Amino acid sequence: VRKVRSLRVRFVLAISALVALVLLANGLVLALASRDHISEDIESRALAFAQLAAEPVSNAYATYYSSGYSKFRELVQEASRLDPDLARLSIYDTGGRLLFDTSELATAPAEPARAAASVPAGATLLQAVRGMTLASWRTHAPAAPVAAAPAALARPGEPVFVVVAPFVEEWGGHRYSVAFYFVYDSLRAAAKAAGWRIVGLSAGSLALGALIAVLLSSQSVGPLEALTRGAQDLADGHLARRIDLHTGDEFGTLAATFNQMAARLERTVSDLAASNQALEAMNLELQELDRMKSDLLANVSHELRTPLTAIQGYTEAMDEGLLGAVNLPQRDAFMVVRRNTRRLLEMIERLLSFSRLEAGAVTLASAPFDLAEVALHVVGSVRAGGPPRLDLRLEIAPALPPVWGDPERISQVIENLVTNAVKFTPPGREIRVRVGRLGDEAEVAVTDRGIGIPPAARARIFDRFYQVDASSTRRYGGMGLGLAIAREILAAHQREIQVESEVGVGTTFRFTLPLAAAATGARAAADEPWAARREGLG
Amino acid sequence: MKKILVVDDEKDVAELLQLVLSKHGYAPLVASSGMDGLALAQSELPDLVLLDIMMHRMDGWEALKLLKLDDRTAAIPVVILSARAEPKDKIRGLQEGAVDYVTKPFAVADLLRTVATVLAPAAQPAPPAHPANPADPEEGGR
Repeated sequence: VRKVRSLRVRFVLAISALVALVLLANGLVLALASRDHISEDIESRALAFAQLAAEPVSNAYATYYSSGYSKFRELVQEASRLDPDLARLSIYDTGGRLLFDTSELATAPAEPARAAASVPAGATLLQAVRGMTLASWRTHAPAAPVAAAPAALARPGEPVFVVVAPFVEEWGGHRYSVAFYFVYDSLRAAAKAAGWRIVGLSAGSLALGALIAVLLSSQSVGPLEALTRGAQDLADGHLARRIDLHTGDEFGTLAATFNQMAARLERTVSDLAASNQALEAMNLELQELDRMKSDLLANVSHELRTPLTAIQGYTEAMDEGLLGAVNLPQRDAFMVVRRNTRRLLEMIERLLSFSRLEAGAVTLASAPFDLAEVALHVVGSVRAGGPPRLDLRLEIAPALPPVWGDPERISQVIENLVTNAVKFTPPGREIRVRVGRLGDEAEVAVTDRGIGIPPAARARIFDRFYQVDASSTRRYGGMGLGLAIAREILAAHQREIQVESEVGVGTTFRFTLPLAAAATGARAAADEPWAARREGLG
Repeated sequence: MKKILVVDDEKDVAELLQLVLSKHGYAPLVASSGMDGLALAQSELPDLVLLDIMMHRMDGWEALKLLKLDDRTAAIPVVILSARAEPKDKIRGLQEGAVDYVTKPFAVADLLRTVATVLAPAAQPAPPAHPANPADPEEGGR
């Protein structure tokens, strides 16, 4: 809004300045022109006056100068008053001698003073007084009154208009010439009046210009404001609003373009909303499918377990002799049945637990725990159930502090890595499990001297159900879920499994876990203390 | 002789339990639905109920609830015996008043141990006789 206002102010200022400039130039030209005009006026009046006044003044001089001076004086003064610009009047004879000058009137009240009579006239004046015609010229009052020129009535340096009119008697005799000195007093007053007129006119024009500027700027600022409101509406999310502006000029075009844009935006947004809705519906459907899948898994698991219950239970009962005496080969057979039943059960377990992990339905029960103890337990149980000639070794770094994680899940990870190693290592070859410290972390590394993993397969071994080659399912057994489960569990811990392998030499899987002290320290620093405690207890 | 009511609609499993329990000196009673089990429990007042969950004609949850609502049967200990291995089911079973939750398939020896513990006179609040994890720890599983 501030910008808009400043635009208006700028409009007014610019137009006012322009108007003022034009008026100034105009006024200057006008003033000069009227000055010339007025001075010409004054001069032509002066010429006319001189022509008319020369005769009565000369007559008065001839008649009364010597005999009735006061009458002469009265006449001259009367004549002088007829033209306010007349500053001085002199009478010369044709020889150029000064006979009378109005300055005498001031100094000699009663008697004529002939002191000035001996003063000769200047060259120009002399020529003029000798002439028979009217002569006039412009000059300036002398800087200081000279003795030759009687005390002037004009201010020094002031422009003076001199008119010399000959007095010719009826019979043609030319005895006197009268010199009139005019100043431009009325010019000054007239110029002043003209100046005021110009100022007034200018002020009026300026006001008018400013008014026009305001109107003009309103005409452009108004549409701008409408456009701004429209843009603001759009920014506020009122996509259906349009700018109602039909000025027929560029603003109108802009508004129309803007409206097109808004319409397009509205369409796009509604399309997006529609597709969002569709996506949401699809998402719900997927969630439903996911739930169904999870139900299905639970049901499948249930359906698989129920017959196993009977198989396992009856085998056990027979093995215990509840159904009669059992001989040794039968006992061996029961052992095989039981072992395979367990294996089947374990597969079901894995499938189910992987599905839960993959669905993210598993929450970790993280706590500080002893990684060495967990590794020891896992290695012990794998050794107990492993094939003959299994060379499984465990190295544990001394004084390893507790780590942070879900001990049961981490136990499963280690077990999966170890059983994977056992599966792909020929009997008698070494498998080594190392638990060590790595700065703020503990590391578990499972190294085997097995068949190794080809580089191309390395990225995929963590995919569920993946086997390096199709024949390996038959040869090595398993569903290819062990590593996938291990990866999912570690992902839930924000960890990754590293794998190094060389075909024919062996493979090392390693992963790290934060030490409990570091993990809880970092948590406490990041979270509120009570939140960290609560999480620690959970 | 302690009377043990087995409620399971899986005939093979019910018969297995009947066999094993009788061989170990208990008097088993068998019902093949929640409804029958409830009626039998009310009429025979057994010392223990082994209750399956997924059954037709009243499932185990409903039967358990009704057993606990009836003054005559409320005190009878119930051990749930189910192939549903979800942790949430185990938690629900214990919340609804069962004393233990054994997942199928079970090791007969473990089940017998559980039964003996529950039936022991003046039984102290004994810890579960077996780990919740059905996979046996001594087993390699290759």
